[in-house]
Amino acid sequence: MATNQSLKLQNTFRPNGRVFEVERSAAEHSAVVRMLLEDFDEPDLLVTIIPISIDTSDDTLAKVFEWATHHKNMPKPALDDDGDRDEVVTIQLASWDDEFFSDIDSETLYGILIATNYLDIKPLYDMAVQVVVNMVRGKSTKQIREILGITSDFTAEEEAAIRKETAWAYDGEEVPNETS
Amino acid sequence: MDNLPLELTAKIASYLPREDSNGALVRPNISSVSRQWKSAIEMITFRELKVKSTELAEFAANFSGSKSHRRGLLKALGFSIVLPDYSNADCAIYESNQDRLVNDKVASDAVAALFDILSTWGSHRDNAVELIIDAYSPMDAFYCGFDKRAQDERAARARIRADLFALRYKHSYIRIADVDKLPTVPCIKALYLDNGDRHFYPGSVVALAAKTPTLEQLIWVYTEPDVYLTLRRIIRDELFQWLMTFGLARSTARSLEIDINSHVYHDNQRLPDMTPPWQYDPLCAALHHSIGSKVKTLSYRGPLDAALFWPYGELQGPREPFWSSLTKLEVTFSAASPNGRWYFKAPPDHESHIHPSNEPLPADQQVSPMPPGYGTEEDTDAAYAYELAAREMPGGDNSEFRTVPDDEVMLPLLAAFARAAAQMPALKNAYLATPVPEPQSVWFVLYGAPGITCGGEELMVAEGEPEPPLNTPRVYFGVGDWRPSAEVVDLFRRVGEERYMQDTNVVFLA
Repeated sequence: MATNQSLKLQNTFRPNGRVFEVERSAAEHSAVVRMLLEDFDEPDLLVTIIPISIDTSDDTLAKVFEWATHHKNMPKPALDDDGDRDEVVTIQLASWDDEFFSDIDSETLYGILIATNYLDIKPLYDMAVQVVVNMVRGKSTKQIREILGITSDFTAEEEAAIRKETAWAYDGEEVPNETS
Repeated sequence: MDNLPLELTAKIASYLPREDSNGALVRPNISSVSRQWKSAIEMITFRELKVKSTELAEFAANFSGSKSHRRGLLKALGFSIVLPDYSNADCAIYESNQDRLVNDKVASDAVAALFDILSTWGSHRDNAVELIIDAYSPMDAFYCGFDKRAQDERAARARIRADLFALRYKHSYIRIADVDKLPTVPCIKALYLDNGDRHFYPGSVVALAAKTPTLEQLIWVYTEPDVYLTLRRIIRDELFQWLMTFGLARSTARSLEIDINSHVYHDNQRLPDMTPPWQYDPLCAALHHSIGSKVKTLSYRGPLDAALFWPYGELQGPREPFWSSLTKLEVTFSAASPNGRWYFKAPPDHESHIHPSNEPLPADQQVSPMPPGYGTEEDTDAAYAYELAAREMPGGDNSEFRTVPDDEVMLPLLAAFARAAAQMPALKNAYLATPVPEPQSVWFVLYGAPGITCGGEELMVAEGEPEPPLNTPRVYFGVGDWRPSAEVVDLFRRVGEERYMQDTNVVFLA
């Protein structure tokens, strides 16, 4: 099977979405695309535009396909791998991936999470999740809100109570310093 | 990220480590970012919880009123009963009867308070909780803190500190009192009383199980008092009563795991007879009757009597099938039977073939003092002396010579196992095994229903034999050169006739 074939994908969530031409080996990072290729007549898929409907911008999708193209030769996880893990494992980003995420703002990161979740691109999804985790760990509640662009919907009293009861659940440990 | 779907927020939350590199908790600050993040963190935080008995007020508050939705998140609850402190001086002496009474009261009150809370949670099969209960005193060796423990151990080694460490409570069993007054708790699907350092009375486990009407899985570990036969008998008698009264979650249990840690005897030691002078062990018989019709998997490890399988006469027996849902039966038994006889003896050409230890202890040695701490100082001294003598290997000989089954003891067990297998309509796999000296290491019998592999097939192939057909019931004996009687083999053959109207294929592995 030729590996340099291309697939055309268009985001139909909004009108006039850009048509992306993605090398098949890159597009196959998406478990959704791989299942389509398995379930439908391949020649048809190679000439038609595959519609995808994701609430994210074309620029964000371009970043997703940029990542997939760079990693087109990377082994893909099995389709039946649900990716669930029993333990929290920190993912170490390789230098290219580190660079890839370094100039991404939180809005684009949010879009990558949405897109990779929809397309089921596990490695990039896991990396994006890890990037969010790295951004917020060790930060105060206020800092986390600023980093993630989140507006508080709690009163100060509610906030304090939630921190306290969450800390209690972890073996009655002390509430971390909010100002840290 | 205000509009991030909860699914994604939950995923991110699941990647968050518990602590940061500086040891600070990570999740509390994130939980208070917004309501959505609170929900995501709650799914992680309240999925598995460890609660001390001293924190029950906070526990109740965190799962009631506007927070009652968390009951649906909780899957596993570890409940630690915090027993009273004791002094440094008390570390050097065994727990007294008074200490045990106080501990029993504290533990009983703690369990009652927990059950009071959980009884209000209602019954939701999908939301049922696995409950694990343990107990400790903050002065116990493993709970007093690493630094204090290391310091105490150093001081003990230097003989400037007297400390029994975990021996102080080795012979104590925590009894949960007034279980009949506890409310029923219909939200517990699995129950496990951790018998790590602190032991619970096994009867208390049975009684608590009776208060959990939705219990599906019971893991029951019981460490017998080792050489102290009198205490062992007291506990067995009490356990028998509880089992006969309540069974083991008879109407709901689907999985039972019973693990009885019994004293390990040397091959040349005579065994105590723990059974009254009639034909079978009442405790194994009580266990037989305690196992309900919904149990699918049964794992038993411990001292074994044929009565676990067949507490009826040879020619009698239930007309109806029993353990009717049981598909998997795993029994690992100790070579020392509860009736004072060894299942194995030395080979005929061995000097120990006829050995005094083939017979149970004489009647005058069937009793023991109570363990240290159960009486006066003089009683404790007497207990020490008894324990030293009981642990002594006769003639200083610890050689292992019991390699051949004693037909008189083993054949009734195998016959009972075969008769029982024939009465279980759903049985797919059965495993009866005991460790034996090298080179054989395990002595076993395996059963596989038609179409189901049971492990014997692989062993045959490993021996260079052709792979046996799976379309018949099969029994594999891994018993060395020994052979059971023709009558017993015939009983195994009849398992297939009874259940599948075809002979069982009986195979003796090399």
